Amino acid sequence: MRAKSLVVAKFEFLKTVRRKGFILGTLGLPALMLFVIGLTLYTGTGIGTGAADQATGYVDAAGVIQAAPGFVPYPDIGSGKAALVKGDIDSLLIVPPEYIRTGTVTVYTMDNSLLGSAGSSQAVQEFMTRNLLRHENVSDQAAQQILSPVSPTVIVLDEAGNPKGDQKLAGFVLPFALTMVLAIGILTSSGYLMQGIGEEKESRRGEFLLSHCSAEELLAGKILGYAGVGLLQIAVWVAIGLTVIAASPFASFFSEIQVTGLACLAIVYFVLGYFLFSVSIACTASLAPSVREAQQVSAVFSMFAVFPLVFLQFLLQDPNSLLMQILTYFPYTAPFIAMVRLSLVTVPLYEIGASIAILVIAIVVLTRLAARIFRMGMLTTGKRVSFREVWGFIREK
Amino acid sequence: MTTGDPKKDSEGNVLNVEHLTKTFDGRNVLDDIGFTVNRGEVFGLLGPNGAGKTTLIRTILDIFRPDAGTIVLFGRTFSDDIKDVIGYLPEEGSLDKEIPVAECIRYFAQLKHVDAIDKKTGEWLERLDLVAYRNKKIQELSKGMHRRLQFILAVIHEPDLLILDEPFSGLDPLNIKTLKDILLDLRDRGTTVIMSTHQMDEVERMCDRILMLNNGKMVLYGSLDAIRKQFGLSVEVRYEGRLPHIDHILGINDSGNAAELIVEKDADTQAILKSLAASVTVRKFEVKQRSMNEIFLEVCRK
Repeated sequence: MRAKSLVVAKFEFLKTVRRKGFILGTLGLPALMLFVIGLTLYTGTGIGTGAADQATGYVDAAGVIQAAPGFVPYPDIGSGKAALVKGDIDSLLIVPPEYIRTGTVTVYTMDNSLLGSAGSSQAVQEFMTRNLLRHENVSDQAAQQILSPVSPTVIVLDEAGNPKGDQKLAGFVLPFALTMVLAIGILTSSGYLMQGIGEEKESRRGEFLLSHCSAEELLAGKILGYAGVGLLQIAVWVAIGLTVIAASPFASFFSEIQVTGLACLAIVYFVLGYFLFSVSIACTASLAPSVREAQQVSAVFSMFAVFPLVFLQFLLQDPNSLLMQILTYFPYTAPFIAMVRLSLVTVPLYEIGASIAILVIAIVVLTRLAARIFRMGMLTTGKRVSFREVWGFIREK
Repeated sequence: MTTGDPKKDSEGNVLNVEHLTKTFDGRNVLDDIGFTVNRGEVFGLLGPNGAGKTTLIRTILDIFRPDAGTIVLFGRTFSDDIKDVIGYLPEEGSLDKEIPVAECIRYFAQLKHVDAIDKKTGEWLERLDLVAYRNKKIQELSKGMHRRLQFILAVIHEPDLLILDEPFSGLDPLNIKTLKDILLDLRDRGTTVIMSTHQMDEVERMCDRILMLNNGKMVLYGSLDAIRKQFGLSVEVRYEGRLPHIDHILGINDSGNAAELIVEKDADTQAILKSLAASVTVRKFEVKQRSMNEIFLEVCRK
């Protein structure tokens, strides 16, 4: 990396991260998400209202229910409803005399939210199942197994029939997470990159910059600088996310993550993918007459980022299908599809090698063309550039 | 054989252009251009809008690549390190408005590998009367201040070759004088200046030699004195009566009792005076060289 590229990268990075828009987007978005999640939990599950600590009342006309913690018996519907209205219980279960024959019960509740109803229904199902089993003289241990019959331990075998090395959570989570991070990174960084280049074009600053450094140095500096911006933003989001997770009951679930060979391969795809998309977007932005048009054209690249989601069903059904193999070789989809495939199945080594080789060749070719397109594109202001003109840019010595 | 040092690599001239051609969309924007720029001179690049001046400057700076011909700077073909000894002030373009002035200077100075940036920044801000704006954002500068800041960015690395595209546009007379003084000071200290401008009076006062382009072709090239001689003389006359037909006159700008006569090269002005005196009462008869403005207009009309 040349010294001038680093000067450009540092300048673009510091300029962008000090913008109010960046600070607001980086800190404001997670804050907003935490607020929405908190609000959903607060209103949806009754946290903070004291409802979670309350019990379910029941009126047992069928004589099948045995008292249990969290369930309060009432002699009749009237006294049960009064307790519900008063707030002593969060729902009232009416078990009619014909329950054994019909299975029908009635639930009274003051909570009309979907989450509240679903939660009540699930709790009632389990409570009633236990009582029915007890009524039929099934032991508590047998009842527990009936209620939760399977506790699986999945062992994934390789083609030789041996357990695969990546049995840890990282084997799936890290590549898939990197795919998502790459997609988000491309979407965020490309936005900043396009804005930066678009502003320079609109203000006709390109000519002055090109008198200070070469198009290659300028392009490399911008890509590096805005990559730093995107990665900083993602790092802040991930850090906030991990902090929240660490403070949550799911913390132990994530402690299994280990960096494996597969994860290293995922990082290779991440870096190559990031570079390919950045160069492509820089070219597009330098050719567009305005920031708005650059964003419209660059939406094509954003579409590639969501390919794994679009093809998720096919990916999960047959990760080694012909379609997925083709998408693994195509440079713009390779980083996403290959990473998800790697997290699901064993992908033949030659496919990985060919995929990375094609990606590297595409980057080398595109970078050479990009510098020419970028140099001339930055000087073409106020008009759309035709394909013929782009061809002329590429043919410039 | 070059030494690697641009200052030493060029003995007599800083820039040597030969048979330069640049084509856009099948149209020759520059057609067989050839000229040299000598060390330490102020070289004027003239021509009407669309003549090819900016394309020529961009090609010299390697922003555009020539289709044919050669450009030799400091005795060698263009390389990236040559950019560090060239200063450029483009006609158009604005700087990043959200950046403070000093930070903007630091950025461009770093790109030119300038040492002691803070000290030089202070000196140039003082010289261009922008000290009070050192930590202000560029968006707070007026158009003239913005132009002066651009000038600082073009010269802070003390370039050996300074290329200026309409340097005085947007400046008031006071700032024009400040800039001219600085340019002449830089020239005296060995900086070569190429200046593209439409202000012919500034060309006459500052330039040693000029190149004039029209429709991508060279139409004038040489020292001001030689070009003026090439275009003959003009005579300013104040008179009473009716102007007669006079031989050896190329054109007349007559305003009733005063006229400017464009005379043929090597014409006998005493004979012209005699012809005039025979027909009208001559109150004033002043022979002078033609102004660059007249020459510019005449060449552009052809």
